[in-house]
Amino acid sequence: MVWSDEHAAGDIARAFDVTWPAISQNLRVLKEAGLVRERREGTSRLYRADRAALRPFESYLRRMWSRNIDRLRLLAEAEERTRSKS
Amino acid sequence: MGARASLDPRRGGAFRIDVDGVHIAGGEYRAVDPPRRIVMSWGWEGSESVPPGSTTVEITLEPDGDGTLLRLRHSGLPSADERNSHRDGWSLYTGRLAAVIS
Repeated sequence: MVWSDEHAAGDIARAFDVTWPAISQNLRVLKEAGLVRERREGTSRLYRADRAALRPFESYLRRMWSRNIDRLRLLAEAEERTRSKS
Repeated sequence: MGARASLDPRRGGAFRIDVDGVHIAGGEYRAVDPPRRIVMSWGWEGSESVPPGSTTVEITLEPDGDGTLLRLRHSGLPSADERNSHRDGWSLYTGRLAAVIS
C-alpha cells in the first residue's frame, strides 16, 4: 500500500482489518528498521516505503504479490462457475 | 475498539480492554459524571513507556447543535512518538464512533 504512495497512518489502519495498536507497532518497527519513512505534515504523519532500502526484496515481494493475485483470480473464477451452474 | 472488555465505570473502578489479544489497555476510573465527563488512567499491559495507570484520559460530552461534541484529552504521554501514535489511534476510533452514530 505504501510502495508507490504516501499514506497517513489512519488511512493505512482503515485499509486493513487490523487494530490501531498493531498498525502503530508495525509502522514503528518498519521505521526503526529503515524500511519505511515517516514525514510530518502539521499534526499528521505520512508513511511510504523506502524503496532504496527495500530494493533487495522488491522482486521477491512482487513475485509473492502476483502469485497471490493469481490464486485470488482462480478462486473467483471457480466461484463464478459454481454460481452460474446453480 | 477491542475484542473483549471488562468495565467497572465508577470512581475507583478498573477497566481492561483487550484490543486484539496482544494489545491490552488498562486503568482505573478517576471521575465518572454521566452524561458529561469521564476521567480515567490509561496504559498498556507489558508496555515500558506507557504502563497501565501511567497516563490520563479525560472525555467530555456537550450538546452542539443537534449533535454532541466529544472532547478527548490524553495527558502524561512520555514522548512525541507516543503522543502522535495515541492521537492517530484516538482519531481513528472516535471517527468510527461518529460514523456508527450518524
